[in-house]
Amino acid sequence: MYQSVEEPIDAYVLYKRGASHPILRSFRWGTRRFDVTATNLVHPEREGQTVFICYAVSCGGNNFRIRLNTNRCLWILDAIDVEG
Amino acid sequence: MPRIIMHLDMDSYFASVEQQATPSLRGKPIGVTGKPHERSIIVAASREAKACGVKSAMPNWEARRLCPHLTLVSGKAERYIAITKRFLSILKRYSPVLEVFSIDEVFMDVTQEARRYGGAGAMARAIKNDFRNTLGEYITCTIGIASNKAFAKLIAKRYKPDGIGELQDEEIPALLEETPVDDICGIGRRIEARLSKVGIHTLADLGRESTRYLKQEFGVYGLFLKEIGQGRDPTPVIPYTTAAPVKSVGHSKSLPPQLRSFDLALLVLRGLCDRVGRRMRKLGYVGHTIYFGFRVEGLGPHYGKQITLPFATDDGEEIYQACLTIHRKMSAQPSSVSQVGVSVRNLTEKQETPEYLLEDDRHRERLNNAIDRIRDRFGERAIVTGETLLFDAIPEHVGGFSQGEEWEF
Repeated sequence: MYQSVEEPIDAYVLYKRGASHPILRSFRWGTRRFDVTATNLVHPEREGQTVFICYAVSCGGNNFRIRLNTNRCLWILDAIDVEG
Repeated sequence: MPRIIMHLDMDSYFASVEQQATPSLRGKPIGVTGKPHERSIIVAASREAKACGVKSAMPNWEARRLCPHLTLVSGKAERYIAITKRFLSILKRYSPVLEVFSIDEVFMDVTQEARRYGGAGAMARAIKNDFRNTLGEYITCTIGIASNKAFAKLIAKRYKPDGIGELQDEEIPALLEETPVDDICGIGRRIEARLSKVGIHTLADLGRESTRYLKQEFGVYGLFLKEIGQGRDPTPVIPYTTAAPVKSVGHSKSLPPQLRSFDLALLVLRGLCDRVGRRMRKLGYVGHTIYFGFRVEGLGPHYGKQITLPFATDDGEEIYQACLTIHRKMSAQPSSVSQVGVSVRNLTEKQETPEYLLEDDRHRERLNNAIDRIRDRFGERAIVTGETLLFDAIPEHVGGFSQGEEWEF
């Protein structure tokens, strides 16, 4: 079950040649850094003209949902899987 | 040269996507639903939930009764559409003759391409391998291979989940003997009941029946039934590049108990008309015939009627006024309804219709265009009419799924 967070984060990403979206390597939430061990699902979402890229990632045993606002280059931690 | 048709069906699709996205849901019974609420229904059940007897379209309360440990997950149509687009882009590399049958089902004619992969079976294995690498290990599919669409779909159903089934022509007679008629896509309960009355239970029975009798009973459809009974299905795979013409645009909505008075239902209807108008303008159509229908509370009968307007329209307000006219003409005037629906038929491309002459109509068109531009830029709910505010509040209470989404691949 996911718990909403909705907080901005710093993201460390790789812009890989030919990839349709940046690859999220790790992120910093508050003072903690999380290294992405698995990217489970990535998909785009649209709200009006704003395109978001939504990531479902695992960092060790924790699962996170992260969103990139491509208009503002803003990374948001959407939610944490509290059962993860 | 016999055709080689593949039917590709994603396994427990929406549930698999959710399990792929959230590892803590893997191996658990989950049900994808509109809203995780007792009144909503299961849109898709995971394999584990299916093993407990949970099925699609089952009310959440019933699914919970069958499977007390069921986890309900709110479905997100955009996520599934994105995955569908991704797997379609993989399939297009294998064959250009690809028909999108639904969000999770595809037919492919691989007669020309199969040889390049060392046969259809090897090609199917390559597709599944590509899916695993691109979509994730949890999003799997089953592939049925036969010489026609009906039997490719039939054979896929028998190899679920995560299988590959290949039907050889010499296996068809035995399959016809053992397969009940309603296992074929397109033979529903009513046709099955009519066939059963005259002693036709299996596909082989169907094949033995005379063409004359089937045509007399079922019209042109009887000829299709005869073909199926003989293990044939001449239906071609319609490539995705051949866009099917839009025949109607419509929306319907089930109402929560607190909104079932007819007056409140009309406000919901206003919102539905607005959505129908918006979709028609997006598609570039105007329509002459308006259909309005409702279901009386408590799974009562469905009433519906249509009128044809002297002019074609794509305006939500005009569609709504036509619905009110229909309502006034109807004999059934219930005080309480559980579902309302509207659709516009008899469509024409807007560019083929003359421009409006009256200033009022031109004004309405300019207003709609301005509203559309605002919605395109800021989202569907950025601007709404006052009455539709109530309509927008409804998804908080009931399990609307894929509200106003367009599935375009």
